[in-house]
Amino acid sequence: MSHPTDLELVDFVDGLLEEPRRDEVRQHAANCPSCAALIAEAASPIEDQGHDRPLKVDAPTQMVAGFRAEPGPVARGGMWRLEWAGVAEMVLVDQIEGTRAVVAPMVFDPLAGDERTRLLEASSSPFQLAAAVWTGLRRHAPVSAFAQHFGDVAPDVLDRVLADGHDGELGGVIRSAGEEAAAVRARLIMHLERFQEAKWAPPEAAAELFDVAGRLKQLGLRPSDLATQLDMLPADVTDVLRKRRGFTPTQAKAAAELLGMDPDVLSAAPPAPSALVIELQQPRWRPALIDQARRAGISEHEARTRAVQPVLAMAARTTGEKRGEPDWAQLVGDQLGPR
Amino acid sequence: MFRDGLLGDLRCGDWAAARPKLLRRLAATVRLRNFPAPSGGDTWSADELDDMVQDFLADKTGPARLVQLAINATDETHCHRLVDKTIKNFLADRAREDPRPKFRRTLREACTSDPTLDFDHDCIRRAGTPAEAAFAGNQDDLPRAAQRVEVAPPPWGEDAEREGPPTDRASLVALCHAVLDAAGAPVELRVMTSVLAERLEIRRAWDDRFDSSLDEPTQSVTDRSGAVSAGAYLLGVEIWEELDDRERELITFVGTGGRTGTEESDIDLGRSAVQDRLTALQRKLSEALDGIADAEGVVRALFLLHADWKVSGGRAPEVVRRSPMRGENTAHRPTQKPGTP
Repeated sequence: MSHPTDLELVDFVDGLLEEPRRDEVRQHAANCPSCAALIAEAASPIEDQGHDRPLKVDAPTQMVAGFRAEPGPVARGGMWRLEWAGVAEMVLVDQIEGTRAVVAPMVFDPLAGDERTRLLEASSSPFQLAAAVWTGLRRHAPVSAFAQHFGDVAPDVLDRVLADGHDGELGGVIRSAGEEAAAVRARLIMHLERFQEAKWAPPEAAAELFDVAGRLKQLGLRPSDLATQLDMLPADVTDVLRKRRGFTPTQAKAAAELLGMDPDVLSAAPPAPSALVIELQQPRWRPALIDQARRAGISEHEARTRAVQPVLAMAARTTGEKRGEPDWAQLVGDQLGPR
Repeated sequence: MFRDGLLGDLRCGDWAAARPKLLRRLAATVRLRNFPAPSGGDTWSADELDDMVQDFLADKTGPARLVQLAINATDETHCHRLVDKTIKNFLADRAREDPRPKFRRTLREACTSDPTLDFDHDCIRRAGTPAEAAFAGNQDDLPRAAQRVEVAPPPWGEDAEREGPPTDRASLVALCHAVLDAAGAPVELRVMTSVLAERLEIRRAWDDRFDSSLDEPTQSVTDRSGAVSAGAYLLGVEIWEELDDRERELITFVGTGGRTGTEESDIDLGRSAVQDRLTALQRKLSEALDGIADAEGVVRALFLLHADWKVSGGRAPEVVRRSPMRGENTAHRPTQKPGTP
């Protein structure tokens, strides 16, 4: 076996190396005096002589708060942390477009940039730390990748930073050579591409098949005929025709006979309404979805998809005065909230 | 517990709690990567480690550095990877800014070869005097003594390609004697270096040992197409580290015009899936390399990294960056534990 790398040795000493690699390194060290000596040396105790040395620097309170608080809706000017598939970056939100937002990545360290990078001064930053805003890399990001909210940049400041030709270029505060800026830029591009994988839409396969209204029209039937034959309330039939809810299994069987459609399709889930799709992608639901995904051994997207039908079912059970456009936020909260 | 705590400490703002964990990581990094100590020696004292971690946390860019770690890390393991990278960059930046390692070596050579001075156990004393305890008094008195000594100008011309010593050997010896007089005792090389560096207003110098300590090529690496510059290689490494394993598998198809051949059978994906992923990868790389002068070199670097990755069973580029302590250069291997005289 070849020598472990430096990083592996550091991880081994700190107890971070996973099995079976940890066992391989242990066995290697048992037969390699050189590596054994390195491990012994790295593992020797370090006396922390500064344990009572004052650390005169504080973490930004907005950062601490952002990691603790439940995030609100995504809005223009927000400073958000995006996280997806093992990568994370800070961004500044420019525009919201339904299930996606136009964002510009922000970097606090290093303060490097290209010719289109702009400086967000410390006084204007929610963290009271200067940041490089890479406006040249501005692009769409799915809302489902948003994770934590750390405050907002004032509208006039946002306009100045994101406007082309702004005179607050980063050039004056670049600390590092062009190579470091190139490395940061490459990393940001890779991560922004990774965030695209967070794009989510529930399966739409049933949309065309679940066209009960179209089938009624073809057969020359009226919604009232459906209500009579299936013993359903007229309002419930309306919901089905508007794809707000589906049939129960009993209703689906009867409807299939009446309409000449596949009973499995009719008892399947109707497509999710746009408002529900948008609500399920809001950042505040991510912790619960991630938790459900982890418990079920599925992806976050799959957990999100699985939440659709229970929420629709709850919406369908709403009757009487509560009818109308469902309160999707409330329903999703009821579905995903603490049990 | 260390494994479970560092990212949590950073995010909840308990940066003081992060300190001992970072100290340990920093100590392991400097030992295993053979970074020269700030005083220029091969071993780091406890004070030097302590100072360095304090600076890491609290110098003018400390808060931004810690915030960036808290933002970019997605879990504790990832946090440690980022910390390692950040520590390495931090130390390299410090090394580039601090001229003392080189001056320290020069000073030691001067003291070793001069008949009026003795040098042992990292201490300087007058020749023939007993080896007693090193000066432990107020160091503020020592610079004043050094200021009173007139020094000769540097012995190398203005058109010299590299910087030489800041003054001649006789002046260095005279300075040492002045400081020893003020101290009234032997003086540690570390302290003498600090005092005389301040006196001589040493400008930036690059210590050659950092070339190997950083494990980064300063020349070029070569593939069959020719040399890949150091800058292109480093950017290639940055990009490589952001690719997932599927993308790494596809690297060798980049630039082939989308043609895939028998090598596809090595990738557990259908042809259309391979084409889709390859198109996405090429788009990503194209944007990442937009404006880069040596984009072709970066792509060749990625090919090299791919080859190493396949050979190493998926562990490059760490395998590529081999420490000089693996027999390539043992001259600077630490021989003493930090803090021991």
